[in-house]
Amino acid sequence: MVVSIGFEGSANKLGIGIIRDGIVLANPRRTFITPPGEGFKPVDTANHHQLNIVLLLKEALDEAKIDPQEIDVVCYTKGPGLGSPLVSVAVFARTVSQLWGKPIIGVNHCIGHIEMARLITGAQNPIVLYVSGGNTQIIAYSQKRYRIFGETVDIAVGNCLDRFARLLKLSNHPSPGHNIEQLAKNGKIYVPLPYVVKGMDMSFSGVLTYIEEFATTLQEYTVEDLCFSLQETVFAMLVETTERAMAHCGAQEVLICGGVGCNIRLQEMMSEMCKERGAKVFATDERFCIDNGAMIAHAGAEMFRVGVLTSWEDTFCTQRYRTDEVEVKWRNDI
Amino acid sequence: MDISSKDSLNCSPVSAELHIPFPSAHLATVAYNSLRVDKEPKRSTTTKVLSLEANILKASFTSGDTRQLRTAVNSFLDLLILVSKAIDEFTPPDFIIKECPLMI
Repeated sequence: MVVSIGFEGSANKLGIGIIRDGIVLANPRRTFITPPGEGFKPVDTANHHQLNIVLLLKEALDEAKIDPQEIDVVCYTKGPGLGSPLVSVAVFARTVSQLWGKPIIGVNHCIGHIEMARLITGAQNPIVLYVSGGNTQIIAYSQKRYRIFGETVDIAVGNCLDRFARLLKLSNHPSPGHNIEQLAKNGKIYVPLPYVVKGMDMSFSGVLTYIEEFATTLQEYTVEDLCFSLQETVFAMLVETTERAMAHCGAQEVLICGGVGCNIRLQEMMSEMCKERGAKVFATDERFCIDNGAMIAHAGAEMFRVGVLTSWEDTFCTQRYRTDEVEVKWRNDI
Repeated sequence: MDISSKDSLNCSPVSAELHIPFPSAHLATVAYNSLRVDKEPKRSTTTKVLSLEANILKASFTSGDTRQLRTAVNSFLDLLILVSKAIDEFTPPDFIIKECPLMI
């Protein structure tokens, strides 16, 4: 019976999760929300995490009804993500790991998303579409690695949506993507936008530049039309590349994870494609799609279970940490 | 006019030394271990060296630029404050720092 605690703060969400044997006992989160038109900067985000982490940890321990002595392993996000927020959380995790006398494990953020989504949905061996503000990757597991089949060649799809929301001065509460999704529901006209798929990869910076020009002139389109058109275009790109990966691997399952995975329209479009292929779509709700501590606790617990530990000198953080750098020793399937 | 040649504030290197006493050598060691792992950001000309003397944590900064020195010291102090809050709130009553086999 392993009890693990996970600390996540690679972007503007600070999350602490406690898991016992695959059951989430607590998973509270605080989001650093900036005013409309502004993105979150690393130093301000680091400040936010430092100000909130003590209370958030108390909240997590209370909710889980756990005494720190019952915890077996302390897990934290090693990367990828923003430098100073990552370090703030890592310093705190290192401190409690010493105070409580527990081993510490550095977890890859992307793998946290994948493993949590697998746990919650029960998907066996899916093609994973990992889409967030910071990452856009299509991943398939093979021989102890999460292999990146395709990815964005420039910005993440969530980054494209967030920056578009900034231009429109949409509220960042609860998230810019959420507000684009609501507006898109009332879009009536589809504006043709650059659709950029290059084999297994995608590019989003071009469509962003193009639609930014529309947003300033608007012409005969409403904000709702632009939100609708942007979603239809970028999500179609994601569905196309996911389908290509499924065809390569003969996969019958798609698992969507990451903050953009909350988007119901994306889930709908993916389902339509999968229905045509007789495949299934798996997705989680915003508790687990959006960055959270429990995903770090769970991935860390899997690593702990097979004896993968992090030496003290290796408890540093890194802004670039490829998903396929990690040896997935805890999976036994091929 | 070449402003930098008139910048009397930038005769390198500039340095700062901090001495932070803790209630015990054990707690100073916790702070030292938490704070010594991260390197300064790549673009910074500042180097930071941490050391322990009984219950005193010493941090010594050297930089080619005064403003970078200020940033490095500020960031360090923010993290130090965070460590001290964690110590205040989460130290078990019977705390003795354990020998961690993975610590060098």
